[in-house]
Amino acid sequence: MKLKLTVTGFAAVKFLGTTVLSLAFAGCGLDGVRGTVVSVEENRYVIRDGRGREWHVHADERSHRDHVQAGEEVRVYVTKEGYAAFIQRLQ
Amino acid sequence: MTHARFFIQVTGFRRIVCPALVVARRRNPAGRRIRLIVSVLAVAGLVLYGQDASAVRPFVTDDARVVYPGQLEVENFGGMTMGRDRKPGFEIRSLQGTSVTDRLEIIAGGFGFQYENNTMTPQDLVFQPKYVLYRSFGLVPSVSAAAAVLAPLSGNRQLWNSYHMMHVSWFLFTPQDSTDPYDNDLAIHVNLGAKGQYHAGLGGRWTNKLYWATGFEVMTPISRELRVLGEIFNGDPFSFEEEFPAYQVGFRWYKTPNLQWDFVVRGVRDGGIGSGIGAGIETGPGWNYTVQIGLRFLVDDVFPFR
Repeated sequence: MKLKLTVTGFAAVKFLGTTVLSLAFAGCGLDGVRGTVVSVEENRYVIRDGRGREWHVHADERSHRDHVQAGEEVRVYVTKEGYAAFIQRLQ
Repeated sequence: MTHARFFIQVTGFRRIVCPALVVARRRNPAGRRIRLIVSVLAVAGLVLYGQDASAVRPFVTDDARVVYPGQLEVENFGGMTMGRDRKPGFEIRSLQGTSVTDRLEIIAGGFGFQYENNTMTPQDLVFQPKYVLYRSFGLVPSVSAAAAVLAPLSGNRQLWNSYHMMHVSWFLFTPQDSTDPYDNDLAIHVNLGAKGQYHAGLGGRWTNKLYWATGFEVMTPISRELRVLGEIFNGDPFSFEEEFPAYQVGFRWYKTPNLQWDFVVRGVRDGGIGSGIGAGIETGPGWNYTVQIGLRFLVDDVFPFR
């Protein structure tokens, strides 16, 4: 009985913890963006997503990226600061 | 690869399941339904062969990633469970899902049947939202949270199973020339949560158990498309009764970026006098083994989420 209560208590704490963590960390880390390349200038890209928002992102030698041109559709994983870890051209 | 060879692979899947179908055909006309479901899955595999997407569910339990918004995710598997002094039990199941945003995925479905002791019953239906809290690649892990409820179609309608868990996953060693972030040489995951059961017939009694799992998927020297996977877990989250020790090992073949085949052997030790495990198939005391074949695929832009 004591073990069951302990586990139930753990489940309740875990559920609460999950909720709090979800609220605290929601949206952290890399964002995934799908859009069309508006312009490319060396390591700087401008991408327009499906809602019409423009994302200014930059890449470096550590970025995993396809060679893309303006007008092509891409999926990008980007930090809040605009660093693109992945730039993937969609077929 | 030609479509003919692909069809042979699909029919090979049917051949493995076939002993169940033979028994079912002799003793229960419902076996025809299993044949129909397998045929539909095989045709779906043929139809979807060659489309472009990324496979995203490497483990049976789950990990910290979701499909791309708008994609349809279909996870099918069929298997045979054997235990000491018991007739084999058979199951077949199909899960569907999609992501409504970049981080929120909804899994719904779980349509399927199990056949044992000359009786066929439907599988429990699953509804599971999952949210990616933190997305990262490399040494810093991704973190997601999921919760699920299972509608009790397979057995006692007063028992409602559920679970919630956190996933912590490392996606490691992506080749520099690959732009698919989930094209990893090694993936590791750790899950921690709780399984719950609500018994409506006992005045609404809740019971909870700790749930945990850890697993890996690693490329083989043979090919990047062929991976070895292994996992130990405190019982399948779909089954409240199932507990540690439980494990699974097997191979995963990334046939195309959007389609993968799995061959997995699972072992679960029943420490009691026998009970229902996995998707509800009964087991005897001691170790019980399941041989499972899975077919998972994704289809782009099925839903209007971007």
